[in-house]
Amino acid sequence: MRDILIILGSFIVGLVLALTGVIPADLDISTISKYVLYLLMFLVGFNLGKDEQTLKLIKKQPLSTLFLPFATMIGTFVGALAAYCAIQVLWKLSVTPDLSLLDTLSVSAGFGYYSLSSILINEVRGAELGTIALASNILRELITIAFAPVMVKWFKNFAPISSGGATTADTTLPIIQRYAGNQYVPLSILHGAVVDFSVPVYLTLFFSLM
Amino acid sequence: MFIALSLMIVGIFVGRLFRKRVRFSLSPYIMAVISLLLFVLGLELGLNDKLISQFARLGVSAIVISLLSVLGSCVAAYLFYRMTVERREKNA
Repeated sequence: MRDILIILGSFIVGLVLALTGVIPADLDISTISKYVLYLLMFLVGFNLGKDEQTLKLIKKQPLSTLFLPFATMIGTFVGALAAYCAIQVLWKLSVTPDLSLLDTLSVSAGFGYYSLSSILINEVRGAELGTIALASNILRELITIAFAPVMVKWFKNFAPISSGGATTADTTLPIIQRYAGNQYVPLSILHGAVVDFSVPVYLTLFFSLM
Repeated sequence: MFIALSLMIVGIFVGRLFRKRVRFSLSPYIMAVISLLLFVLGLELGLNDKLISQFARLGVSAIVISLLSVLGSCVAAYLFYRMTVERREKNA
């Protein structure tokens, strides 16, 4: 619980500082976040190397766990289908814009990879859906990092990996290491890479069906 | 991504090297850097004028899609965990 508050708190402080104009608007955020990520990855590695049990536990894992990315994709698209139904209701109440099923699926197919998915969707489907994709996929990353402990408690160790989607090889990896366990770091990296590559593939597929 | 993964591998070797000497837990440091990452994510979002100005109109659909995608993933991950790891544990 304390971790959730710290994580959401840091996010909100950053958001408020940016909104109030305390932070200069021309700050090069992407370079800063890149170096923070490098530091995180080094620490994740250090933690792995320090732990003597990791290798033994990795060897004990069933090979079938390698198919986790496909569970993630199925779960995400089923969720997007439910989101489409919910948005149809909200649209009738004029809370949201009208989104087609393929639009909803495209937004969810970012799997948290917000930079790539929002740019692609922006180009093909316009600025409005591009903005929804950006917000939705940033939120996916934020939800995963903030609620990973709850996910492990309710849905077992693979839940934060599936929830992290395309980000599990980098930004969500340390939180997965902490709550799912050191032994799932290699699976998490593989998962991140496979889902990462699937983003442009799914988007191309959905665009071609429109 | 390549640099990030290389740094992780360097970290593994450094961690092995200092295994005996580093007896304390790294968790608080990792949490601090994760918080820093989230702080930067908040900055990134807050400095995106286009996103902020449209959030009231488009935000609800974004929230609905991300929440239900995450929920769907968690349920799928739970079923997958039961089919793989727990089945193995039962047979062992």
